[in-house]
Amino acid sequence: MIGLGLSITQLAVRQMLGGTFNPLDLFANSEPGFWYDPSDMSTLFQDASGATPVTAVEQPVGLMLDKSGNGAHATQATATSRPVLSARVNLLTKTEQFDDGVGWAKTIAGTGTAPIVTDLYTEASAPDGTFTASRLRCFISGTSSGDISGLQKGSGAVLSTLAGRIWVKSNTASLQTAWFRAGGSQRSVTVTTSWTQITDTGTIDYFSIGLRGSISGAGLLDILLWHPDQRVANDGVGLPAYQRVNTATDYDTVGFPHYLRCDGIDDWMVTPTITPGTDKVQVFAGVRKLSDAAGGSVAELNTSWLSGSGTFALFAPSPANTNIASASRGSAGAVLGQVASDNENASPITRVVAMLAEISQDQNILRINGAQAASSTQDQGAGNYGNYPLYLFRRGGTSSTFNGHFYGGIIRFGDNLPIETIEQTESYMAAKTGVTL
Amino acid sequence: MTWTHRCMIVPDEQVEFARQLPAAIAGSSGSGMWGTALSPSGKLPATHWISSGLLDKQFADLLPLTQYPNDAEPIHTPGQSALAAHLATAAGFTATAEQVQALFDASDATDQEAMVAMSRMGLMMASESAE
Repeated sequence: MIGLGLSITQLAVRQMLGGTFNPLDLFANSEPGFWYDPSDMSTLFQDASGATPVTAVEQPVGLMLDKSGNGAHATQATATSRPVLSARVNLLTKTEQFDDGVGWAKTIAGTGTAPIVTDLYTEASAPDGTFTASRLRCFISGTSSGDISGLQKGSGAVLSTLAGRIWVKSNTASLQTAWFRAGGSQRSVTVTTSWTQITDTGTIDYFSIGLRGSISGAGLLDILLWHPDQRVANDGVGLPAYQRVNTATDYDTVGFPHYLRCDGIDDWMVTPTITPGTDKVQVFAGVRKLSDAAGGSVAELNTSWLSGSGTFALFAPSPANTNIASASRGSAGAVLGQVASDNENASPITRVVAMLAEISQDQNILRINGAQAASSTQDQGAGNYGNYPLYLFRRGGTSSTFNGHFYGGIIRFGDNLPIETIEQTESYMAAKTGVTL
Repeated sequence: MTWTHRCMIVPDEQVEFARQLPAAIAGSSGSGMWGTALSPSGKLPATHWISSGLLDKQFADLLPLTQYPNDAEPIHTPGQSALAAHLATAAGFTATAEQVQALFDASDATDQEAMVAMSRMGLMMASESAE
């Protein structure tokens, strides 16, 4: 049972004294395990040998140091199979340069004239008092859908639900009507003489603003724009509402959780062989799962939990098409009943996942966002977890490739933890992941 | 080091040669590529293999590249087959410029995201084992 069997550790003492939770305390009694923290750039290297540190987002990670003190560092030698450090949530680029054709296409059709853009407009202040807003002037004389003058980005492809927003203000003394869409159906918006943030949600990959005859009517548009942001609706919730993005590698990172972007194709890492020496394991991970189309192994002891004895796995999603799952077994042969499966967390979704397992007690509990989501009491056999490498993001480096974001992970082989410590660890991981429990 | 994204899809009949070439030129960082099977049906056997991610730009510049700009014709930059063959041979893996060029001609090398390139080619990741 969870909560039994804990000795008085440094962790408990620290908690009694009201100290801050530190994951390192989970390993205070020299428990084997791992602690990976992509937000700590000092633990990341671009190559597997550790010769070249990661110095910025959008660099590959070939070596991720283990912060547990066990020296179980994760590596990936093959360049194209390295995950990439990221903190990106805003899908737009050139968010402060509307006059840049890379980020914003000037769309002109029918009676429309070329939009005129003035970035860093000095005649009017932005909502924060700076002179960082942009001025947009458009003109059309027709009222059909083929009459367009505006700024646009996007492919029109259907994506996950998007949330788009932008600050707008009339640059005249009058109300104006503009054409706007940022994921949803195109519509008219009234642009007032005060700064207002207009928003949109929908699944269509477009961000458009300007004039379109059938939507806004004909005429002249003279408005100010500031801080556009478009992100997947359930990504970056609770984070700053605006992320400046210049290019794919130059964007704001402060306030945005760092993660390893795993492409679901061939990205993975592996540790040296470790010696658990126990039949109890606690796994905590912060993940964003981008697809349920194929199984994704977040962490798996041995080349597969199906092979050998004394193995475990954490899936998002599972190869058997459940959303999130954990598996554990000792000497007993692998059967589906040993898997604790949740099916309430369809992609894309960001979650803090925990797995609490004990072979001799046939225990395998799956917790999601701080609450038990599933469990298995199927016979796991006997014995300890085996001496194997830990594979991250891909089963054995060959299949079930995780497609998503990895915000951090803690794996501890040792006595069961009290529920307070489990919840503290989940809260710690939630903060790293940008999740509110 | 400067990194650049590449997505490379090679046909099954060329994959063994494809795997050996970067391993010879780039060493361990070029080993283990094209380990993900693709097929039109999503079932094995594989008809193609994919490798996608960040490459050292010096290595990427050896490869052909096709870019698909929005609303414009694809732009193709040929690879440096003779130089690639020379570098591989110097590293102990004998390859001719003709062999390398045949690989380049048969391959799809772009800066697209993997899923986009696979969709364009009508390919899916081949099925994996159950749980």
